Amino acid sequence: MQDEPTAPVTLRPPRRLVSSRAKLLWTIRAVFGWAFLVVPQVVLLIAVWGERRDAQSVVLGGTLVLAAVHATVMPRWRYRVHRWEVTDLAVYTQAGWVNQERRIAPTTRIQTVDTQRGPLEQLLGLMDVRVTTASAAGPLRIRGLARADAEQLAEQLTETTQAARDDAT
Amino acid sequence: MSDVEEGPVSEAATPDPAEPDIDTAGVATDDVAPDAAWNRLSARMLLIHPVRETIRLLPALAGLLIAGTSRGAGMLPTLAGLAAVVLYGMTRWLTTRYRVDSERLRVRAGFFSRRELSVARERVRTVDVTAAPMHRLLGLVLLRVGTGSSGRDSALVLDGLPRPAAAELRTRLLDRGLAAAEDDAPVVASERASDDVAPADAAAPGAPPPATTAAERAVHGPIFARPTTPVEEDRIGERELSRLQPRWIRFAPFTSTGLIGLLAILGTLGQLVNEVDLDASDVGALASLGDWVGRSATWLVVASIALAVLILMLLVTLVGYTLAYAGYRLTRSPQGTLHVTRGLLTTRATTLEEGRLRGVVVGEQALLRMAGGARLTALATGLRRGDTPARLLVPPAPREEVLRVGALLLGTDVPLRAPLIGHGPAAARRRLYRALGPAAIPAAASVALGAFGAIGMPLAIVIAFVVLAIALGLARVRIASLGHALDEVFLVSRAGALLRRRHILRVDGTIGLTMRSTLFQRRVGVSTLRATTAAAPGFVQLLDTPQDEAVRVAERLLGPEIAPFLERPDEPTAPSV
Repeated sequence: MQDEPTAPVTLRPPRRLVSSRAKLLWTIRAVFGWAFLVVPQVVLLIAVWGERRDAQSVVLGGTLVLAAVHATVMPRWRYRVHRWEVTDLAVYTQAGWVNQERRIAPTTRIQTVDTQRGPLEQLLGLMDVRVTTASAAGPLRIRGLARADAEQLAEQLTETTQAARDDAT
Repeated sequence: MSDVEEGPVSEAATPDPAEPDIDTAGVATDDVAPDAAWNRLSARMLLIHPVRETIRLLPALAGLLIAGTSRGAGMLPTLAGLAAVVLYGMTRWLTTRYRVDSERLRVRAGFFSRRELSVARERVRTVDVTAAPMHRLLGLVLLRVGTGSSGRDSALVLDGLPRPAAAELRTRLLDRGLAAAEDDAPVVASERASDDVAPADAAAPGAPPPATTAAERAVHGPIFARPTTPVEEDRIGERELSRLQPRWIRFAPFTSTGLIGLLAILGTLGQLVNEVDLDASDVGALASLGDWVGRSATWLVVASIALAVLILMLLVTLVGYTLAYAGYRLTRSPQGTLHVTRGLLTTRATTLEEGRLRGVVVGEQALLRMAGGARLTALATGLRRGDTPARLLVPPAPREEVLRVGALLLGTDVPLRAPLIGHGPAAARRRLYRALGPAAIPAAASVALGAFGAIGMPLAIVIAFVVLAIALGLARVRIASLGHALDEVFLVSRAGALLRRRHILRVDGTIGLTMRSTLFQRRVGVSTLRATTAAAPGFVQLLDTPQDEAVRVAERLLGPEIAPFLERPDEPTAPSV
């Protein structure tokens, strides 16, 4: 096994961004998630207006602060991280915010290309694209694309995949 | 498509001549050669069947016995059970018949629902003839016909043929099969593993030997064969790569079956005691034991229990190892398949097409490593993801043997022995924090308990110290184990302290790449690289690799695909595609 010294090569991030409406999507999701924590606390505070309310108020205040920070910072951070790029030979995605993940799949290894839309995505005109390979390690996902872009990408990938046909294992 | 077909016996349907492989329903009465009469299995099987079934159903019969005696019915339920077993065996013998004609081997069986299993003679690739001790006593053998194709119904078994009849049948089947094999490309083969799982590795005494594989859908039940002493070995041109040596049993105590087996035994015993509704003070021996425990000093009792547990674990591991790996053989056939057989009471046979082998994993668990042993499992496509027993290539054995077999399978021993590149100081620090971090909690808890007087302060400090020392030791071993290597053909990755594994993956078995980095990893410039592959478990991981090295590996693995995404410091950035 050899170990040749090479100039440091870096892997640049993918070039294309997802739709900017995705920020709204993530914000709404974050707010919903935090609501599950905040609303019971508020209810508790109002209903059990008793001795504990100082401590409860502090906790509630803290939760609200965390929620505000998360819901403002996370979508913007994510928007800068979530990227994608497709060439004739490969699909390259980057996702995450605190923890980030990059995935590359050769088009010859792609088995299926799906698009998905939840109710929230439909409202905002967004779409997710999911690309699976033969590996059990999971599919590549590009979330928060504008619908037209997603459909076009799925079509392009399907064509490329069919052109480079083998059993993809 | 399976080579062994079955269907109800009906006289109406005839096989479609345009589709020779698909025997839809039934019995063709037109192509019977004069010598192809329906044969029965040997009547001597009537002696074996009852004994075998009785042993298999021993727990149930024991249960009947206990239930019977406790309810005052005596031996009657047990005798009734025995009679039922014998009757069942007789029915089986009466209703099982086989026939070989010019085209196919057919086996008919079944009392209530008559089934016919058949195999086209030109599809026969292997014929296994084995004999268990009881069979040998009576001059009988078990003949297994393999077709080398994938699927669950890829073997057909005749259990209880007289030896001369089996020899003749074997010759007739193989002559045809040999001719066909020469101009046949290796068929799509995958595993033919047993469906029974862990209990076989550490069977509690008295537990029934689990049922055989669905693939060996015999006309009978469990196969009580000992593959270590086959009567004749008959795979065409097969080469043996490895076989079990009795010396290897010294690795038994260093495997993990010990603890699991012990728990299994204790569980079964506990259940049994519950069923029988025993009052401990009634049994003299237990009562005196209880007295002794009450009288003796605590440390003596604890030491005795510990010793007893150790001895029990030793016995259990020895038994478990023997049950799981007795008769182990790894062979390679010229059709391009690997065949692994092992097992004492239950035989497990796995057939692997070498074309599906993407690499191997050398398992060097901590205890095994200390004893100088290792084990080898396959990285192969076509195996179910959770099916670890089916992937075993070499059981716990001397390390040199494992490396030797690995080299035979990979074609070179370079990836098995190559020194690995470490992952640098950042990765080492991370291993340290990740080991000391969790250990700090019990250590702090211990000190806190000591401070509050629940346990003596010196003891608390000793405990905390021991916990931290263990964590430190683990971290150091992890740091030393972590590493990888890469050449044109293979990617090697090693990690772990307790469960250390050396993954060797063919570079052309890589179907993608994943690079993960947490916030902390990014700050210190490392990331975790995963080379995804179609072979279970789906990826080979390089943990905490320095970013430069990760990119270098990625470039080697996915050259042309990744090229547009790489930036070299001296080149201008390529325009967007």
